[in-house]
Amino acid sequence: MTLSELLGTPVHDAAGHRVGRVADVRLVLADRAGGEAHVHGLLVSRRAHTPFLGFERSGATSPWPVAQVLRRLHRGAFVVRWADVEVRADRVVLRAQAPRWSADLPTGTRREGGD
Amino acid sequence: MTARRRPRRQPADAGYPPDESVGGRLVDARAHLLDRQVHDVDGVPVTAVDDLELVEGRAGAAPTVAALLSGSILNTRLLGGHQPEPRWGRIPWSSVAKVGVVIELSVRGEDLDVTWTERWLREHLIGRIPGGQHDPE
Repeated sequence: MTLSELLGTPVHDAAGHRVGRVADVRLVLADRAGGEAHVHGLLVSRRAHTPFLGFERSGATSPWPVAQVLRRLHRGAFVVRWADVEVRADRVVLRAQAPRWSADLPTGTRREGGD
Repeated sequence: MTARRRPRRQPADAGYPPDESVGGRLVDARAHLLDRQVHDVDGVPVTAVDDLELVEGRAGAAPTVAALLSGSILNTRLLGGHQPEPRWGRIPWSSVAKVGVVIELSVRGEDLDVTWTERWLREHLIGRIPGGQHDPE
């Protein structure tokens, strides 16, 4: 499986309603060099093909017009953990009552990737 | 007559709680890895990241990143579809030393399969041109 096969895949909830597409895949990196990187969850948004440019996730607010446009485009985006999804051939299905988490990267991990 | 009230717009994150369950460093693959330049241990640019290879984790665990993939992806990005697996150049994730503005490797680029076309051209074409056996002065 490659990352590009996941990106853009439609995401449905347990009742079959479409909730968006896979906009990104959130990874956990090991602290040591050469350590493992594993998938933490999927970032789901209604506009998977519009880049976040870092605004949605870092809480950046400038330049203000760009931040406003991107936050509006991706309003309602959320992260769902890998354990709460089932990847099928043509869609990703959320487990019933799967918790949804903020798309913001937690404090301490922001901007380290060079947003 | 009662005025129809428009539904209130959701905020950007719709009030979802922050996920603080992970102690390691979180990155988003598309935002922080795709299209990033890859430098070898000597700081020499090697390639750029075009895709990631994910493999199933052990005993139902989450998938892990097996390799950075690099290849000629212009056609698939313009026309859709996926690059055939044999055409990818792989850099094992175990060779990645640091993920930052660029991705730094712990090995030399000369030793990677992904640079074979560059080595082949140097040895079979550039090296046969008079003056092509040494660095430019």
